[in-house]
Amino acid sequence: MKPPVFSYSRPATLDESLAMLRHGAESEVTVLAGGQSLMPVLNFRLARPALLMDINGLKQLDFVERENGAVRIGALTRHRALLTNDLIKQLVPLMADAAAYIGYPAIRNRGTIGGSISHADPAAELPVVLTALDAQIVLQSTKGKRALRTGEFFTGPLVTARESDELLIEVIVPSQQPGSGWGFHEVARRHGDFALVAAAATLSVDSERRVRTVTLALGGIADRPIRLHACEEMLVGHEPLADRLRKAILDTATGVEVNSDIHASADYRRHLARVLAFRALLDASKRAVSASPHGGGQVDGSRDWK
Amino acid sequence: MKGNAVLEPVTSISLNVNGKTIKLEVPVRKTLLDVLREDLALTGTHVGCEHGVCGCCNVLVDGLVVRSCLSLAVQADGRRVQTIEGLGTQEEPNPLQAAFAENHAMQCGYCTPGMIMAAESLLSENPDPTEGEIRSALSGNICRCTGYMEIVKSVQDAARIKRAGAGRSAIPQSSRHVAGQSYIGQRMAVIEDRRFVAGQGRYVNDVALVNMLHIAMVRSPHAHAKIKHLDTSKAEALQGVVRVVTGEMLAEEIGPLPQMVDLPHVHWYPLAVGKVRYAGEWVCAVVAENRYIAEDAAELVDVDYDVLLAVVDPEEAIKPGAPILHEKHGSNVAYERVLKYGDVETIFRQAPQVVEESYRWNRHSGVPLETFGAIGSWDAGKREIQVWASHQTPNIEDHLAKVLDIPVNQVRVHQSLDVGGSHGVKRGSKQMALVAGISRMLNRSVKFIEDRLENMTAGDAHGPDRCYKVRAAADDQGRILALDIRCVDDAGAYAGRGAVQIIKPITAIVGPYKIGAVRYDVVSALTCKTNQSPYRGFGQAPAGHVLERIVDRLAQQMRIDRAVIRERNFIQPNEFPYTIPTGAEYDSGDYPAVLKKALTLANNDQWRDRRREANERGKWLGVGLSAVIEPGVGTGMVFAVMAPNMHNIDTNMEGIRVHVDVSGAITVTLGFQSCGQSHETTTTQLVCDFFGVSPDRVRIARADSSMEGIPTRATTGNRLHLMLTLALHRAGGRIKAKMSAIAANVLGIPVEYVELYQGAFRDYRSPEKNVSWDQVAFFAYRRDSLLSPGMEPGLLENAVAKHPRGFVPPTPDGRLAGGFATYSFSVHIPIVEVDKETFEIKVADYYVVHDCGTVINPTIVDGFVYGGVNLGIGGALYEQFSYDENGQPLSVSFMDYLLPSTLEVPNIQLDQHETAAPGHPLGAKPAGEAGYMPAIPAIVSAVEDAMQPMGLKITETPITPNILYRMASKAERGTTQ
Repeated sequence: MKPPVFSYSRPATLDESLAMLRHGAESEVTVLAGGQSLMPVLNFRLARPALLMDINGLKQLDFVERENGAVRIGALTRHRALLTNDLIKQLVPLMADAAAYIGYPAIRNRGTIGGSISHADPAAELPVVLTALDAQIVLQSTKGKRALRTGEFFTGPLVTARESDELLIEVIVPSQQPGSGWGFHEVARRHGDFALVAAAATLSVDSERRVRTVTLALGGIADRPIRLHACEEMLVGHEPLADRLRKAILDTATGVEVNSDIHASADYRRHLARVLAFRALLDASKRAVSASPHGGGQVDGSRDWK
Repeated sequence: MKGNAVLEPVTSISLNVNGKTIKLEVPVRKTLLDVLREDLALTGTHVGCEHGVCGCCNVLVDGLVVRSCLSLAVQADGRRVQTIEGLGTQEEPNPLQAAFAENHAMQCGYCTPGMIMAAESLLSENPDPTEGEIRSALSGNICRCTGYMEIVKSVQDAARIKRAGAGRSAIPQSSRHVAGQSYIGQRMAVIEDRRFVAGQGRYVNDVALVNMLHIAMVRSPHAHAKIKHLDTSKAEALQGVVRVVTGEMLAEEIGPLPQMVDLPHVHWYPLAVGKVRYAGEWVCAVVAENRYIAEDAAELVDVDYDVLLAVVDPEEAIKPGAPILHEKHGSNVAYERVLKYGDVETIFRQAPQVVEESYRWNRHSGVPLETFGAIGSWDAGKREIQVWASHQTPNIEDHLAKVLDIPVNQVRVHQSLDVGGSHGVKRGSKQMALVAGISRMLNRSVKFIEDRLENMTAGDAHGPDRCYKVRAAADDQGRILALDIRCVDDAGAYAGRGAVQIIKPITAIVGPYKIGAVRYDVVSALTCKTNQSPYRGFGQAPAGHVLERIVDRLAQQMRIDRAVIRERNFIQPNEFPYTIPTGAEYDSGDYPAVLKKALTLANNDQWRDRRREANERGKWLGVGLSAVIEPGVGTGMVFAVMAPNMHNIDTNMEGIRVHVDVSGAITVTLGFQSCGQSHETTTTQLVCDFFGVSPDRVRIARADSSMEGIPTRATTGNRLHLMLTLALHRAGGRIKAKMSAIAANVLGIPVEYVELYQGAFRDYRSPEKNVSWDQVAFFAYRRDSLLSPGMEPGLLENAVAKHPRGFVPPTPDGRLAGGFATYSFSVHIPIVEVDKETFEIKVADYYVVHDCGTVINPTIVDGFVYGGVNLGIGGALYEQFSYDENGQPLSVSFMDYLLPSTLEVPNIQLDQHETAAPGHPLGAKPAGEAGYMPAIPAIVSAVEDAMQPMGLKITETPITPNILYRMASKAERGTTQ
């Protein structure tokens, strides 16, 4: 299990990288960031790039910044930072929560958010979290920048809308608003494995404890992370009681072909999707209600799901 | 000159490794792991999976732990890299290294450096971690041998030491022994661990010979196909490639591999000849200057296949009309036999209670973190083949001599390597014959280290794979009267050695129970899978599993408590020696006492409250129970039952050499290599106990097989605790007698009055008359005048111990006369929780009471039990080699073959019970499998208990959340319809 022959380049600047991507577009340039997804692929010889462009020299892509009600996170930010960075913990706690499920320390120390998102494993944690957060994924080429929503960016299993001359440079994640909550739950065969199913939710309530905004995303069940808009719509304007959350989930068909493999059948994944969506929404509701200035009180949390 | 040179881009880098700046030129595609190991000879960083899951290759880069297999060396340019060698040495270990050695937090030592590096990274950021934080930080590091208990404890200990400000601490010397006490039963620090924690274990991949070539395999993409055409020309044209060896070429060089089952028309070769019989089977061996180029070339070999229908399911394979793997053999049945002991039919007809169930024991295995590796080096001048390999194979020199068609004394198999775990599976006759044959063919040294893909798909290292139908007949009290067992075992494509595992269960087929009659109807099927290999217990584990499960089933049917029904059926302590219907004789045991102790240890009075409490948290809690015996020290009789014409065996010997040199130091030479069992330590204890010397006077060495003449049957069948003791006592007894005679001459007294006491030979009537051990040793070599008439100078004795029980070969109808020498026993009680919504299964607590007689070193034996449970949790809940209906393997990486980590294996509460073995000079019994074998039925029993509210009956392993969900949905539909 040794990587195939390739050339290697470590550009020092973003411009140099973008130029390399543009000129190399025809001869298959592959971007190497943390390498925690790409290196296994190379060792298994499932890819054979002509040129490996190592972007670890682009320190300007390793940042976490607060800007206009959002948090900008550079593509070269390591998973480790999601757990340790105070801005992320305060402003996008959902990401910090989910990051604990990514692999193990050795993987989190090297793996980058840009790499994980570009790899687009349908069961990876970050894509589903960004989907729930309505994040924007920023791509840059020599021609300019564009920002895509996750629904536009993730186009299939390990496939994205990134053009071969583009580099994923950052994600822009809306900061959590006061009076809102979040929830993340996943089931994996073992902790650190890719999820069989992961669910991420955000939710905010108004002064009457009615749902003002809600997002719900699932990973692991389809070829890409999915948003459950129909379910969200059923909740807006209502108090987020457990029974209502359950009903909204039950009444929502995902409308996707559900994955099946040796670890989980499609039926089991569908079942997990309902359970985890409920748990994520419930956590989000509880947090929203207790964080709400008009809130207080409890959300019924019984878990006798059938 | 070769034409197709692949342009291999290289670059200059500068690394700061363990404090030293090193400049070197590396190919850009070379991983940091390979550069550290090959270019810098830092072999303490180990190759495990090469896809980032196992953690063996962890190093620190700029102070943080990373996978060196997932980093290119060029990416470490200008960075600070720290490896295990940089943390400390045997003499000056860092606190983690010292604590790991102190607690014996390892067995084979292969995962240890990576584990320590992960822990070092944790402690540098968090000097006072909780147990949860430690477990989380180490969850990406797999241990297959001892599990995680001692590892977690070592990190806690090291954190304490570090916080106290000690930079360095000593590894405890092996002389941690209370003066005047016997060495037997002491928690003597494990000698091997000292080198393992320093990254100084020496494994096969660490051996580098001059001008050595490297092999990579061309693997079959099809499960069953004829090879129509092979074109190796493009591969051979690649620069750096020396030869592409095809199956035909190798079959001209060597003969077929020996198999343990009588199958004259099943020809087994290391490389497929004419036909492939499973996906992944090795078709060509590419021999090149390095492994990178060999893999490049392997992709250039064109093979044209005629695809045939695959045979995947063993029960389908033996039906008429199934596609046949070996046409000349005429069927896919490797072996079939109905063994009948007693009038089973009548008992079943008349019994008031009958239970019946089918079970599927899916393929799992030891999956050591070190794959199989072998080096062959033919010396044309001496006409000698040398082999280094990570093996635990008995009689390998005979096998190699046969396939190479040379005399046995031209085969030298080195036995001095550390082996990175085996658990029975590292037999590797195929791999060793391959490197030996290719080395002779090319007159070059060749190395083949399986990568994880080669290992998982074609390493011949999978465990038993069985379909059972089991019936039990019982009386009105739940006393079992007869068993009727039908078993179809999936041997894989060739019988090899693993197929024999189907017969071993007759040595303990009734477990710890008094069951008077047994029918054992077995078929071994050939299918399109890699060969089955011996795995922990040699086929005993699944048999013990189905017995325990049918006992549970009977208990359910009769509404008798699971512990009570077992107690009712136990062989009682006063009934030993006890002969079971197959003719096997159990030596001793106290099963009721062990069960009682286990129930108390597991706080059985609290189970009801715990269930209620778990229920409130949304979990179903289940308690499991199993009571399993472990046979130890076989005679080879199972081979004789299976193929009497091939194996006319009624014993199993073991040799030893004891050498007291002129200085009085003792070297004891063994004929086999170890794979984590700490034989150097236990043998040292036996030697110290026997001679009364201190451990610093003793060294354990290993003789090459055949050439240095220590007859051995290797580490198989839990035999060495007995066989080494017997051999040592024979050879040592002769040394002692000779030294006593010399001492008598020195002291001028009759030899009857000489006793060896605390390092001196003395006149027991007047102890002041004495001569020291060292002086006597000196005289033995230098003073002929002090030797008795006719006495040879020197103190060198060989002994070969024979199996202590006299046996006659089994009868033609399969009845044994006697059995294994000794039988251990243990009771496991796991407590599991199943999430009511997600069906996730968590082993919450685990209790074991273990009786292996006198314990030579409790630290080592505890580790065997913990590690066995670790593998048992894997087999019960996670591990399976899955295949699709076309025979494509679906678990070829550690992303799909799931190894339990720190977060899946709980702490284990262990208590020992000692029923001394009457046939052992010290009373010891086997200790290898009492962790693994009972764990699987115990956990399944616990999960079934947890699922009682839904009435699920679990009949397959591994049992997964996916399966529980399916069964629960079905049960629910059943009740609502």
